[in-house]
Amino acid sequence: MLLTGSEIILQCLLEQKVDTIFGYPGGAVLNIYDALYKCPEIRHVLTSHEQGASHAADGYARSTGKVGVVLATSGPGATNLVTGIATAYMDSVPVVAITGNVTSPQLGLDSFQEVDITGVTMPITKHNFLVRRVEDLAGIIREAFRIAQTGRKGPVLIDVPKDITAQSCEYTPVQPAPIEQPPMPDHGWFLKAVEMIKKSERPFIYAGGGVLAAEAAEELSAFAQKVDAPVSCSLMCQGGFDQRSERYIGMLGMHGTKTASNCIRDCDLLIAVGTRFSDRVTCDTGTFGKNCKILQIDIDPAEFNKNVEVNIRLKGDAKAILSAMCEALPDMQHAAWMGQVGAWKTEYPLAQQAMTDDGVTPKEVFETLAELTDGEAIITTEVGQHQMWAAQYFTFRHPRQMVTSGGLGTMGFGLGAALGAQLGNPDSIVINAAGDGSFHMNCNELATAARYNIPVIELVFNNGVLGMVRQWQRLFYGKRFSQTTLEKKTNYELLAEGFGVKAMTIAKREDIRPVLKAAIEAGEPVLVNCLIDKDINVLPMVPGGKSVEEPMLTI
Amino acid sequence: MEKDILVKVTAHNCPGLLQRVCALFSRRFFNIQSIVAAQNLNPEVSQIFIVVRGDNRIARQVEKQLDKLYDVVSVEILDADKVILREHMMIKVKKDEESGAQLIAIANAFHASVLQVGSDAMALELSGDVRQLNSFVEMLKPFGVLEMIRTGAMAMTVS
Repeated sequence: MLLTGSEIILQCLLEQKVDTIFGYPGGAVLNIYDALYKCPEIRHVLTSHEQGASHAADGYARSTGKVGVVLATSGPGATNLVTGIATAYMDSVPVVAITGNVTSPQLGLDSFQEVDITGVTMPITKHNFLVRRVEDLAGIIREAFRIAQTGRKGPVLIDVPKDITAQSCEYTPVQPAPIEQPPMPDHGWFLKAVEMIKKSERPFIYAGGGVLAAEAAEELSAFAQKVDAPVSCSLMCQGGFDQRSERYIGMLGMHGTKTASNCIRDCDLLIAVGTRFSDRVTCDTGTFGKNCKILQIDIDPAEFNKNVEVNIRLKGDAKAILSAMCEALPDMQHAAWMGQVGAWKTEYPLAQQAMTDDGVTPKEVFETLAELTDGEAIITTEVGQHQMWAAQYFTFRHPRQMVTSGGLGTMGFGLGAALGAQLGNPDSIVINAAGDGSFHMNCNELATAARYNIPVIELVFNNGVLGMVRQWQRLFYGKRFSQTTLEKKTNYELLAEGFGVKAMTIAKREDIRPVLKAAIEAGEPVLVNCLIDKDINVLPMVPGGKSVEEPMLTI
Repeated sequence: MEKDILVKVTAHNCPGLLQRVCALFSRRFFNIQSIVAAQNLNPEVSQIFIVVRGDNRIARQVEKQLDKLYDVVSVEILDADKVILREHMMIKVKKDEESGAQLIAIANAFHASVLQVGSDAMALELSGDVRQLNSFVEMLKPFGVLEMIRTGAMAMTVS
């Protein structure tokens, strides 16, 4: 059938089973929005800002495993997506961004709202396309979805000049082919890896975001059981292993547990699954894993020997490899090692002291949240201390329960991401943990929550400072708190109500439970202004450049 | 140990290909010594030769990261000892009455061509491997090199 470029875009989204997109209209995408007006199958969520839309598409993708889609106009509309696309790229999230551009004859003439967005986004996309002919459009959109989901996932951008959205051509629907799985790793190396695990007396499993991307949580659990090893998850893998399990020892790295530090110090084999040895995990790479052999399982061969030299590398799909490992391995027993790990867990629990008798600790807030939601809520976060506290103190049980900007560390990510997560998971309780610094970056999306009645809980840990930077200033900059004391005059409750969002306050310890309970039961968007002391630190902490084996437990 | 790494990239000849390759090198902090991009027999395929300075880790990263680019078909790290390696150079040298004959003698010894002779300068051209070109430049330096331009290395295997 003969369709316009705009109609082809929407039909191609429907081919991919897309039912929700996030975006913001503008001159260059007028034709697409006109077609959208006549397309009730696609729900378009209008955010306050394109950046919010990009984070929402990302949050939708992370929390559902589907591809997130964001639509924006040319020029500033497109550049406002950049932070969101870079965030998705660093954390390997499948997002397709569609931008309008000026008409083809106007390209390159510094036309109004023209920007070379394919040039701008080259380093932060898996690939991008500038559509030159309407006949190419359908093929490009299908290819974009394939690229976003194949191998190591990631964002793809499609830039469509306005004239192409108006031109017509023949469109034939095509059902998407299943995403190809990568081949199994070389069998010889696979067998060597199996032997290596069999010989190990003190194995330690360290899992990353690749476990979630490969939907390999069940296989990871079975593998840990089979090998009889402790498990640590990176920030990107929170929920990839049930944190109620005895085997779970907390995060590894800069704000990991002392138990995880001891495990990396004393293990004889580190089995790294779906992780890229980020500097936030390895700390000093020169000394990381110096006492053990390392087996790395990853889908992206560029991650082998990039940050850390490994002994055996297995390239492929984590789910398939772990499953094959489980078949190839006997049931192993490491009672003495597991006993030692258990003793460390008892000796070094995560702790946080309130500064006053009735002071609120983030630990208690997250533990209460975990209890009230039976550990089933989706927690999105901004970036900073609250992000680490969420990872440390909420008990994540399932994949895709934590949505956080790990690689890029994007303040302002969480609220948009929470909207996407809630729309993708209408039956879940979605809480965005924020600091007051991050909150001020993209609080405009409260308007979106109110407009669509998206019942997210915006939980602001309000300490009046940029807590994480302040913590570094306290430790390494002689307590010179340069530009981190915010002293804003914001009335959070009034602001929320101004946006049409209900507001609640946690001012002291006894407020925690009733306020959180009320927020959860509200069934509408709620802002919780949670007042905490500005001098609560994130601990343990490995200072920059130091060995991950020696975290500071107190400051 | 740092060395020159010769990389051959075969890619679909799409708009922006060279920009993608260069963006990758910039993002990954790879240090490009030279880059030559040209079509081969098939106009839809582009061949890019890149010389990168780095150690073995860099060589592996260059290979794997380039391989992830969507337009790239294949990446090879070439062993400089096992390929025919050629680079093209034009060089302009000062000339006076005395030195003219000497310059031509040097050019002949290297099988270089004389492109143009002016009243006080001479333009020469030479194709050869990197070592030949380097020694040619060294020979000409005492006369006063006014300008020099080199293409960067290209390579081909026979067997």
